[in-house]
Amino acid sequence: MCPFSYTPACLTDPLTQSNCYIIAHDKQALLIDPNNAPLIRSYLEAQHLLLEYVLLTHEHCDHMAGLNELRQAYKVQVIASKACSDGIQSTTLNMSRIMESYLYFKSKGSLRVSYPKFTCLAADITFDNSYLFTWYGHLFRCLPAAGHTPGSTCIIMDSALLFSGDYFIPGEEVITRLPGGSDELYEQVGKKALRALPAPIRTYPGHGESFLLTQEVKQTYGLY
Amino acid sequence: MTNAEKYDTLFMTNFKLTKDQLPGLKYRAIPLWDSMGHMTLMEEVEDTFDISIDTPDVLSFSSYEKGMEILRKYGVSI
Repeated sequence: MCPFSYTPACLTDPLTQSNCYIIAHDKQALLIDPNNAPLIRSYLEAQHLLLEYVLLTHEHCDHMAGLNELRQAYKVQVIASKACSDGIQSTTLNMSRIMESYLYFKSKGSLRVSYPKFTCLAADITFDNSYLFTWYGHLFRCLPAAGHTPGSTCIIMDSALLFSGDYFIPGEEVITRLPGGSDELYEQVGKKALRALPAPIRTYPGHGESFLLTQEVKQTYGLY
Repeated sequence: MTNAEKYDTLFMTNFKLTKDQLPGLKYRAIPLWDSMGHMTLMEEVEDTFDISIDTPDVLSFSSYEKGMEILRKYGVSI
């Protein structure tokens, strides 16, 4: 089992500031959220790692823009919730259709880049409810938490590390108004899943630095 | 439903407004028409009128009236 102090490699996409986390075992690698293929491939090549699995926290393009290229370069299995798998196949649900404008607005007009819309093929392994998966002795629990998007999922590794996607982003409230997001789903499904997460737990969000998620932090998100 | 009615409906539904509140409405004048609300509105305008709005026009879609002007540019009679 992974010791509590285990730290996954974190690669941050310079454009969207999304985080990709890479976990290595000998020469094999598993990653969460393939945000930027060139960045990831450089890291894997430098570390002599062979990518085997890709897990997705949700379907938004800033978290999986590198998926198509990685699928071409490596024989990977992609694991995602069924809703996430559906979402990555839609330019609306994966947000790539509006990303160019979104980045402009989010940067308050300072970022004007070309961001072509794209889709991905379905995930290889999908789940509707929680999904357990072992990889070289590490246990991954994928817990659907719809709200931010229909396919949002929290991933817990070895009961010690939480990959929270776009939940628990430091300094930001949960966003449910982007494509596919739903206040109702968040209230009914997402919050229930987030409340049930173990705490304290070392948390690796989809944007920003890692932190210790405690019950007190959860309460700041209205999770009592 | 006419194009004008469809256009009004998008604003009324997305921003929870009545028809009489639409003339003169500007981007960011109400909390729901913020950057995220704008993204949703743009997608629904594209779907409703079967057009693809270029990014410069998404950015200059700054009011209810300006939006109609932009739609006309894309061949929508409104």
